[in-house]
Amino acid sequence: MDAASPHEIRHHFVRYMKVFGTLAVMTVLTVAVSYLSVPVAVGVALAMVIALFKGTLVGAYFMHLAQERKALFSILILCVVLFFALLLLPVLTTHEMAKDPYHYPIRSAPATAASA
Amino acid sequence: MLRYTVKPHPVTGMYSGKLGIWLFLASEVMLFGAVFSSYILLRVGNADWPHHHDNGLSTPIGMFNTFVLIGSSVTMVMAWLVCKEKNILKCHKYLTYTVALAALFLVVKIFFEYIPKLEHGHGPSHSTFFAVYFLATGLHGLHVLGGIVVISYFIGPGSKLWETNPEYYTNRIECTGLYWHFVDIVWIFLFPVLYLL
Repeated sequence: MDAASPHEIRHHFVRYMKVFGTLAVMTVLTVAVSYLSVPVAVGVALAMVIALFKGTLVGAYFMHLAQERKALFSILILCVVLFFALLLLPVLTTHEMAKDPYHYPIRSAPATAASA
Repeated sequence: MLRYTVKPHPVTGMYSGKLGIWLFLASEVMLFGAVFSSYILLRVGNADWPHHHDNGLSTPIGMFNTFVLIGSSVTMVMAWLVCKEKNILKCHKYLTYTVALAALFLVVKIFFEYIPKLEHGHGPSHSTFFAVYFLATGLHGLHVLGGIVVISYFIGPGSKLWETNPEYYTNRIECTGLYWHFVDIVWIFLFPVLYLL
């Protein structure tokens, strides 16, 4: 591990403060978006895009992924694939719910009581 | 004895600790992934999910805590950077700032959010929304607490390693930082999901 020079420290400090400023502005923007009169789906999409951008900034600069070795990305890609599978599988496999999500819990309750 | 604690492994290109912490973080993604998955499943199946303006959560408090955690990420990465400069005193200073900010996050969470909610009867059993809220933020809060314990260890007894092997100590600070930034990223997603959507 190479020791960092004071000049390098200063350079990195300025960069980290810029990232901090961007994250702070993005946080305010996320809150502002929640007050917009847009459809729920659009609001969710906007909030998630901003959160993804913020997460990418933290990963790239604070976790140094921008300079990381390629071997690490195989772990991360597998992790992202499994994460989305985990996120979507329960919704997709609940067939009845996918067809009619809003009435699913109401219809299923009497059926369970009758079978018991 | 664990090998490649300082020098990179010839196959992975990174020291053992870093590979280990990334594998651990991958498992953590799965843990929080299950929570987010449950949230989606419960939310799409619930027509009465509260609108964010009247779900009882305070957006300014959530936003304040977001700034606190982002700030703690900056102090954490600075601690690692000055460690590379071989300045242990500055490193401890930045680590102390990180612990202070993490403690502030938990104090705000407990005294300005959890206790008032529980006093008003809005506990986990009140509704599906509050069950998800307490589960997700409670799990995240435990991770913040874990971070406080680990960082405090490296300010205190764990700093003895600096005297015998400064490079090893610096790598441990980097690994702790990776964990801490992950905790920050989880909050970056939890904040809009629970407070704003």
